[in-house]
Amino acid sequence: MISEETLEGKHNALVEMIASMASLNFNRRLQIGEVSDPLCAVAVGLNMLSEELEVNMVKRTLLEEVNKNLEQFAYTVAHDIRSPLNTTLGLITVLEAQLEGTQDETVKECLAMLRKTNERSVKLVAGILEYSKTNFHSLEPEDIDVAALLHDVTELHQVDNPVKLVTETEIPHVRFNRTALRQIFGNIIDNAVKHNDKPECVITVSCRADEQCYEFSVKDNGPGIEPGRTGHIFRLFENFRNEREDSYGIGLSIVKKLVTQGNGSIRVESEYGNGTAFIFTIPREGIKVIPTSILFSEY
Amino acid sequence: MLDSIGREIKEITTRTERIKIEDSGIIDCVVLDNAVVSLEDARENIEAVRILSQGGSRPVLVDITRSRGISRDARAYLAGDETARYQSACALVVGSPLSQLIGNFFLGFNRTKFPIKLFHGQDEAREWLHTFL
Repeated sequence: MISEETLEGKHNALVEMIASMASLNFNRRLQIGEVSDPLCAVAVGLNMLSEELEVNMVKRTLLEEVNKNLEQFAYTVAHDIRSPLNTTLGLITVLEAQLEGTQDETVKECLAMLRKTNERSVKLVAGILEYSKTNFHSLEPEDIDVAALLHDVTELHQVDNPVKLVTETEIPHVRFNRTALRQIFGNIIDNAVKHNDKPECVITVSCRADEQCYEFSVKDNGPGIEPGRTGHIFRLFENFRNEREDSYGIGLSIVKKLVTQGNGSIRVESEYGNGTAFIFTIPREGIKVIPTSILFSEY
Repeated sequence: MLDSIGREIKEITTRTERIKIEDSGIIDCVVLDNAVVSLEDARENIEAVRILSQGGSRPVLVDITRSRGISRDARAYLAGDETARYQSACALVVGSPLSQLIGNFFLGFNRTKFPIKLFHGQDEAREWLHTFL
């Protein structure tokens, strides 16, 4: 028989445990009573959950630190390589000027290859720098009229590659970082325009919401993605070795990074020959970023 | 393995389990009343399984209905390579809400290297394990 006082004490201990977990402190453990006690299973369950979360949080924190260091390393290397690459490009320009009018086809060919290789390397370095700098942990969320933002993003394309924007549902106002959301929509739409094979690029945007998040779908009428490639589409420099001169495989990697940093998720759906849809979520309550330093201080 | 008077060992009791090999070849483990299985206990139990299975790989029935808990390290060990060497499949028999919870944690958080399934009765569990004999 459990006395009321004991029962109240156990309830309080359970509530304190949950409160502790809610504040990301996972090192608290409850005392386990008799198996016959109905609260025993709850206590064991909370202890096991807390233990799992503690281990996973430490792993995640360490991974984040490793990723951060890798990005910093990539940034430093790219930054240091950029200068000699630009110098080389200048030297190639000088060589081209000196050899202008030469009849030697081999020299012409070599110069052209040299320029092309150099320009690709400059793009690669620019891509690494851009990806490394994409980080909105320090940026504040704000209220955004997504319909207006979409209009602004597509407006940029109207001169060179007209884009028809179709909204299938009501497009809400959201709380997010404006620069990040502009880059997410911008990169997806840039990608759609770049690869579109129709006389007119049509972008269809819709949004549905549940209690936790908004889910946006951005669908194009392009050629779709080859079977087997959808799994790689967000990889950094995935597109770098393709035939396109204006694509170096950075845009979608940045989209994924921004969506993930904003506590959302992204996936791609595509039927080859019949367009591609990028579907991503952003939380309704805005971005809740936990600074790494706070996570470390828990342990 | 033989005992001190030359008979083949058919049953071992550790700090947390009673483990015996049945004539069918299934290894039957029962977690003792109120036992909380630590990593050390898990190692001891798997060593007992190894002895009873004579180094081979056997289907194992583990009745956790009277268990009071298991540590994360013990779960990880029981799902790992060492255990997989001696267990071809594992049927976890649960009963109380607590044992059901422990079973669900095992299935949810641990990826075993062998088939594993929860059962609410021994007969059903044995029937499934027979397919691995």
